Amino acid sequence: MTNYLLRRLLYMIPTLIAVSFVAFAVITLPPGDYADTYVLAARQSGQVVTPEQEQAIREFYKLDRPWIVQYWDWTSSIITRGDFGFSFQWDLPVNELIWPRLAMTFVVSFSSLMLVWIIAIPIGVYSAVRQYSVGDMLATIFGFIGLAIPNFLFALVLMYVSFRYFGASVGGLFSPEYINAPWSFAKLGDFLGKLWLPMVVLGTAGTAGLIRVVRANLLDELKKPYVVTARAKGMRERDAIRKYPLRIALNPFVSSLNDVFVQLVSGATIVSVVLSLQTTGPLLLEALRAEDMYLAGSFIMMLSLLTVVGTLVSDLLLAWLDPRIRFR
Amino acid sequence: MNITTRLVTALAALALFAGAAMAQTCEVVGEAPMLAERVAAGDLPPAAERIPSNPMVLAVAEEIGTYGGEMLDLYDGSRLAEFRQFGYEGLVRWNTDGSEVIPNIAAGWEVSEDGSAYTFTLREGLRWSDGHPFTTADIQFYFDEVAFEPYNCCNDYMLVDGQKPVVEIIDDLTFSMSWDAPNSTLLQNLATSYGVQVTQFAAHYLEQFSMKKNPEAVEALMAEDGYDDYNEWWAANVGRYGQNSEYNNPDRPLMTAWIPTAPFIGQERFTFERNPYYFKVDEACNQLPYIDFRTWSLTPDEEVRVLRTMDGQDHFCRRDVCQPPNKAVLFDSQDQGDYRFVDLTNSDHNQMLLHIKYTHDLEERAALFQEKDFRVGLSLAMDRQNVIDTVYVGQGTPHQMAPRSGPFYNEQLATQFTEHDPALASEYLDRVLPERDANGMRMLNGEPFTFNVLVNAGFRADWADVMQLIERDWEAVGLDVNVIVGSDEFARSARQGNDVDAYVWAGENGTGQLPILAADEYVPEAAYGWYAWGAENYFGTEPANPVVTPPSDIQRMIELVSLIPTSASAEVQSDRMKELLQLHADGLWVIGLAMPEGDYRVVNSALRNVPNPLIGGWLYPGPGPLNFETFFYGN
Amino acid sequence: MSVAMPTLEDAGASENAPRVVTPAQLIWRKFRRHRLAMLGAVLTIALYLGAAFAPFIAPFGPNEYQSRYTYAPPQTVHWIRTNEEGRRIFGPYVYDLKVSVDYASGRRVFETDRENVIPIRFFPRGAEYRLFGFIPADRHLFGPADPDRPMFLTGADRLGRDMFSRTIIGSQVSLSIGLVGVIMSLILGLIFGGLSGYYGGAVDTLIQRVIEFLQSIPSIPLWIGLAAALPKDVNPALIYFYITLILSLIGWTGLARVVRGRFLSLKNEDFVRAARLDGASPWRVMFRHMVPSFLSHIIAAVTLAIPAMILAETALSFLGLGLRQPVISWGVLLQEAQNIRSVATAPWLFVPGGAVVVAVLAMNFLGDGLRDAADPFSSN
Repeated sequence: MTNYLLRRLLYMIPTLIAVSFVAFAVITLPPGDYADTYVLAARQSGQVVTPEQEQAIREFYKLDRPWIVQYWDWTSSIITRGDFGFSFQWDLPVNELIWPRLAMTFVVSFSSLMLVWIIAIPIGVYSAVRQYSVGDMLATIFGFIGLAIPNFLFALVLMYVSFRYFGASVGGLFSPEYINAPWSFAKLGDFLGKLWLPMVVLGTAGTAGLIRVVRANLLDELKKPYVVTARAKGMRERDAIRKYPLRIALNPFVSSLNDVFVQLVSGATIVSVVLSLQTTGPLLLEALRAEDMYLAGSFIMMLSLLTVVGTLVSDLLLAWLDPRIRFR
Repeated sequence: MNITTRLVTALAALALFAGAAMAQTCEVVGEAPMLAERVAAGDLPPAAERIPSNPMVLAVAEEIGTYGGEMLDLYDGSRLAEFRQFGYEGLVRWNTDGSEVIPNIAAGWEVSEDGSAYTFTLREGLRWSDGHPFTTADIQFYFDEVAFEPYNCCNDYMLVDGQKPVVEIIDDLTFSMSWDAPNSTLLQNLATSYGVQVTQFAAHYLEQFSMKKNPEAVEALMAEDGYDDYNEWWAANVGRYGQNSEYNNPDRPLMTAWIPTAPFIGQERFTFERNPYYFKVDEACNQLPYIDFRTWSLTPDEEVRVLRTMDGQDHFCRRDVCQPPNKAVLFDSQDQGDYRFVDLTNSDHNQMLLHIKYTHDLEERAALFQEKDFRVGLSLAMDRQNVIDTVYVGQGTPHQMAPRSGPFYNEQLATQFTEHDPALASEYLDRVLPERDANGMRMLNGEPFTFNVLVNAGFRADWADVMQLIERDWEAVGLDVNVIVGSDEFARSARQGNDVDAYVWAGENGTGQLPILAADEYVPEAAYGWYAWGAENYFGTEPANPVVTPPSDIQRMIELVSLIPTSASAEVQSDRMKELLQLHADGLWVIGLAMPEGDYRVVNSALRNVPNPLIGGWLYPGPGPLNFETFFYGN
Repeated sequence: MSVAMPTLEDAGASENAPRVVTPAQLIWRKFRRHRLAMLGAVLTIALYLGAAFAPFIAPFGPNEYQSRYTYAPPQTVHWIRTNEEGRRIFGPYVYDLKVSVDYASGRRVFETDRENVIPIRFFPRGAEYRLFGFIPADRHLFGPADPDRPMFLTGADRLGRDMFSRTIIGSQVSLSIGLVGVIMSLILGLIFGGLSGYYGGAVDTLIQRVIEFLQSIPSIPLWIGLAAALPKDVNPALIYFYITLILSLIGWTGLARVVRGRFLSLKNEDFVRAARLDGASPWRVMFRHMVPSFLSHIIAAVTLAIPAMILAETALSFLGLGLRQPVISWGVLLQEAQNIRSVATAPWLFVPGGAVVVAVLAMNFLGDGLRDAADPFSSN
């Protein structure tokens, strides 16, 4: 096992190098560069940028060099100085942009992820055990409604309804008057009054997929002879489900956990939009769209590192969950 | 008609040999209770000592206000101060209706006979927000350290034939700028959104960041922050024109009415508070602004911004929210959001202009596009009234690319070929595209011909709808049209491609003197300007590219654009602009759709001194010049 | 745990059948008893028939507009009326709409005009179209007797286009091209996940590194780059088809991880070993013996991927890469409705969302039913 772990850790190095190289190439793939974005954004506010000024912007950000030179500059300053470069959009170093947002992002993503799991796994189990019951049907229908309506649209409808008919203030985790107030019961009430909305959006959109996966896999297992045997031998229903079938049914869930860390950092975008939170997800999206390449590149590097680590953790969890799986 | 017609009377630069502030001195100065407390506590000098001896006096739109309150705003995460709602504080400024340039930070100016030298006098006793005097040293700092450095932009109006101004500091309050040739639009340009940068740099504070003045310390600071590029470091610490970093340092002195108290980048909600040293008073000698705080809530998503505006979380709505499609929903929530509607007259002259690529790489296409009959055919085939009724709920008037009013209004240009006449359109098209295929679609030199039009729906979603209707109109006269709709990044990348024949954009700066300042926007953009498809060809840095020369009319327009600012007299300047517009009238080089009408803003019900109607624009950065500092909350 | 996997033939023989029943017949019998699955099957077939005959069923062309009726609300169909002579007539009709423009609120105001009736006719002439892409026709299943009068069964959009017609026609793309992408990524996911899990070792290492790599590539700049590289005057539906293919070339990684996980846990099972010792080829072991034991998961994955794929195109068209007018799909229609104006004043624009839900539920029940019917362990 130690051997296996060491080997996996070693594999990370070439993977990351390849990812950083290709990611950077892909980021610079679309025609044009940040100077074009700048010119267009300026034009939209009314400002006219002349070709000479555009050239000056290009030179200022050193965009007139071949991308491979820019790549080398960027990676070498990461390795030597921990400097992830400069964000053009913000005129700030990438380091100043990413790190302050990580804590908030982590809190939001972690709680939404936990929420999804806590809701989805029990419902999935229930749906499988009571297949085609009223509860199962309701979960199925609501789940698919959640999947079929774009999350953002769903959030928009909920926000509008809560604003229009319940007079709730829109967005934010707190009403304006509570933002800078000390904690009190009123503030807590306000907070809880706001929290339901992202929870519902997450509850229908985020959980539907997981409910289906747990339900389907448990269904496959429940009909297998070993479960029938366990039941026939008088094993308690709870144990007959939890001990083996559920463990195996969670196998696909664990397999897809390899991007759990990525979700923790970039996820919960919908919640951020609804609540107008400044998390990293929207920042990455904007950076990619604007060709703010060092910011985007740094994000992708971080995310791919997390993917690689996540894959390893997911594999280890698989082996733990199902003793039949052996890695050598 | 409406207030924008008053822009007509805008004074041409050379007619205005001198300007001076309204002379008023204040014996007793009224101040906000929150400042009076600080004065009583000994933290601040008395109000009379904080303002200039000749303060800027603002006339209020309705009544003398009362102090206090917090004005809420939404912030989309991009530029905080884009001058329309915050940060319009230059040496000179437009008066409220945009008809003339009036003093602001400068108390007055004199212009030499030929318009090549300008002498400005600053107000006496003017102070930065930290209490330090604002003097010509600050102007000097701007010209020495900022104006022409790589990290700055957008001050081409300061160059005359490429020559930088000779700046002479006469004394603490007087300085002059001069060139070898006239710079006849300098004052108006200083009053635009671009003029603001001259007064944004406090020498006494920013000297510590100057590589020229303070090299060792700067290098030490850079090393500490981990930079090896001075330009980047400057951009991050001091900020560049219009960028947020300019307002992110609460220690940096500013001249704006409200000033930051903490860094705001990345904050979800942040508040600026009143500048205790602000240099403006009302007619009763009360120091402005009336409103204590300006608070912005970060709301990156546009639809959430609309909802928050409906919820009353924006006391003066943003222009991206108060768009015609959102009027109905905003109307329905007036009571809940506690706001009212105020009309806005726009200085935009057109909802949508069709810019054709006259320098198309395929010479047969370039040749076709350069035929006037082709363009007239396109224009006559468009059912403009139908578009206005369908997309703009009946608000608007068919209009070509022409100023909507003012000295440069040209009736022929504004109204020609705006009627819907498919039969006549067909006749015109028959002259240049007579061949048709089996389906009745027109062919170019025996080949199927598709006219590809690019629409940036990420910027204006209504254009996609408009083009869908016009596509039908054009197809009715036998023209195969391919409308390519995409977001910003798509439009941006298509800019480099050669498979687009035309694109659409808005027509801005169409009232009063604004066309002179925006003369370059009246040149067919696809041949010249920001979007310059032809730029690589005609102005190209790579002469190896195949060159399709723009038609001689357009070349003359380009020439006129560079001649207008250096005109020796107002008449010459005006004649040149008129010549440029007449070239359009003769050639129909750009096809327009309709003049925008029926614009609006929603404003908090309690907010007073808000003029009605408001004026929107960019070079007149409306509603910025409408004196936000005189707004106050009534009952 | 030593029960070997019985084959379908065994299950058939155990029933006391008077004659030999083939597995297919057996599955069909079981399937027929499954009411929900039958409903799902009927709906799915109906949806596909609807898509095939869409321009015929839709009373209007997808881009036909009536500028007087922007944001017109849905009109109710009535059946019985009294004509001028006081006789009662049976036949479908809608009431006319009175339109006025309210400039203060910037919208049209509609009032049902009970004085004027718009009869609905069957097989009227209307917009020209080509059935199945080649048969020219202009008859529609039904429509207003006077084609210029309003008949908006599910309301009109911002240009006065009939939402009912647009939803029907939008199904053509959503139910065809999108599914190709789903199936492609399913096949790739099964093959690569299977190989990775079955062989393990170096094969596993290699495939897993490729997956990590693919998951790390940022998609947005890739799309922007592709959008710029693709010629602008190609049929938009064709471009979209290519894009779904590319989407599925990247999108198989998630399923592959899951399949691998299941293979890793199954490959040492007795029935797998038995099949292998029996001399079955690895291919046969993988797809005849191992995959069926987690078929539910695959069905779930497919039904989850369908709405995702239908909605994915909205993100693409936003970047100027997906479908473009005049081609429409449910995703495009939903994208158009994604604003406060629609939510607050025109909720009928969400009809395509309802269509997506119905389609996905139908396919899901169909899939569940097929799985249950094919499952040798299921008792009822």
